[in-house]
Amino acid sequence: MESLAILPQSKAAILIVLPKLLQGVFAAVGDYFTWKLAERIYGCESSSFSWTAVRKDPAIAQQSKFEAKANYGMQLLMSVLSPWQWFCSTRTLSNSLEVALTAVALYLWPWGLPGTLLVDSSAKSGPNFVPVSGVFRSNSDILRHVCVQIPKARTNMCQFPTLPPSCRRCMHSSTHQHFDLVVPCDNHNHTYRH
Amino acid sequence: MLFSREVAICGAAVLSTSAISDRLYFGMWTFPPYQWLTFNIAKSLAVFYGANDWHYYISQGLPLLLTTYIPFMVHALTSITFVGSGSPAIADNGQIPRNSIYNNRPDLIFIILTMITTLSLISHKEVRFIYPLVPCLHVLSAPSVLSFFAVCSPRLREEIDQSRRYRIIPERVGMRRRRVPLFILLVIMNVAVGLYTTQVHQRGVIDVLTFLRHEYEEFHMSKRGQVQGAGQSGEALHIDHQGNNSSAIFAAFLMPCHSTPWRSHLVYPKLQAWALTCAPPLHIPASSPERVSYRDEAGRFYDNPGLFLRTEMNTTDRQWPRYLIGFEGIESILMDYCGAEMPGRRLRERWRGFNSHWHDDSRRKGMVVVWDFVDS
Repeated sequence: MESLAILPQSKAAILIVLPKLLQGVFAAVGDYFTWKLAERIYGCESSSFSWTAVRKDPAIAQQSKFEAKANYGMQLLMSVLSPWQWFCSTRTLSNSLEVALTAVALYLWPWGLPGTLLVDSSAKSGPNFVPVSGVFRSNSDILRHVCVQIPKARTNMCQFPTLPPSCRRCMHSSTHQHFDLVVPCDNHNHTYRH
Repeated sequence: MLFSREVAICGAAVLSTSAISDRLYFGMWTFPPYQWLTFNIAKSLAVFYGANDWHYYISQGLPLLLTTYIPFMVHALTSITFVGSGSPAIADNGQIPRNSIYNNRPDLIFIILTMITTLSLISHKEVRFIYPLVPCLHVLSAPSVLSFFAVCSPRLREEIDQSRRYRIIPERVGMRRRRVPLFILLVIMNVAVGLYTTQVHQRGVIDVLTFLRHEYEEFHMSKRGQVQGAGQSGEALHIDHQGNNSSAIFAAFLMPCHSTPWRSHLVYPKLQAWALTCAPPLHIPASSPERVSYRDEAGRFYDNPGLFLRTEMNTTDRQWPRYLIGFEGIESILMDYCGAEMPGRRLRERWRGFNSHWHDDSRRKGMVVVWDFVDS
């Protein structure tokens, strides 16, 4: 039994290493939820395409998926390669834990609360809208206006270059449901031209 | 409705948990954020930890946090879209529709700007205070990095890449060929900075604690770490081989305050040690003459090391230790002091470890050295 007793020397070594390991876990949680946050902001998981109109146009659906994955993949790469994260995230500073908690909180935050532009999927889509996950209820005209006026609604930095400007996708979903939004468009059948 | 419900329930839950845990820990009812405000702002004690320019977070903080990502962050912040971030649309039944979507990127920028602006108003600034912005900054900058180095399209190969300007990688993401070297350079730079700052820079102040810990074990513990007959309690032997009482000071750090880790590495409870502190003058009222002229321990030592050693050492609070630890800059001062004030004893170098190639704090330049006293 004596051999099972932990030597103070070993205990000291464990006491020194254990907090570092724990902080490593916190750092990993922070990185993971930062990635999830990016996914929530940019991403449309494939399942979310099952019923969206985007699904009906395979080109846009594919495009969205590439963009989304590339965007949050890039975010992950940035976190992994960030010298500051290397330097700091695994240190047992309260600020490092704070960062991990902030990432989790930002991911879980109910962004759909007031201050939101909403899409109601149950509403019927108008004749000259791409039938998407939903339409803007009272803001559709404003949105269309904004989208056409802003020369580059550069939410997605790698927009499909051949889409007519008014059909460009403005943004991705940021909800848990990962619904997609397509800007009001002039017709149902896009023709992609150079 | 939903908003007030969330605020009421979550807010109350968080505040009461915080209040109860603080009550349990401090033994009295207290509200740390308020204490934080009084300490840092009302009493303006934070300035004792250093004062910085108003633009510190912009000129130094963000560059430190983001290094090579800075240009992309600037691009991301200036090209953000506000589409989808407008006012709420509440359904007829007063509820937020379940399938609502929302562009929260402007909110993230608002968070970043608010936090940097607010913290810039406080004279004491540290990068770690804005460290929680890193997730926001990375998420917001990612599309800019991506679009700078790549395009993505399902028809990349067929339609876009006829000129072969892109290196197609899976998922039809095309790296811009002419920017691939720059991308590789950025990766190498990031890895190099990461490796240097974690493996090389300031390693001495941590290495020295490993040395001290092993020395302590050598002095105060048997190989088994147990006193004869102590059973499995694992208690260390408290009398060392030379019969010295282990309650004597084992190590003392003549360094700027908080230069080394403390009990996270000096884990033995019986290991007695002290270091120069930089406690703020809690007892002296702000804007009094005493406050203006106040110098903390570390400040007094570096103002006049010789005077400090003559007048403030060998008191009950600050006895000479077995091991003295400092940066090599104080070596000659210590040698001179020992030669003059400690007849029959000599300062001997026991350990010397690399710490940094350069340091912004002149007091922390050079190697970390451990000395002990021997009879001459």
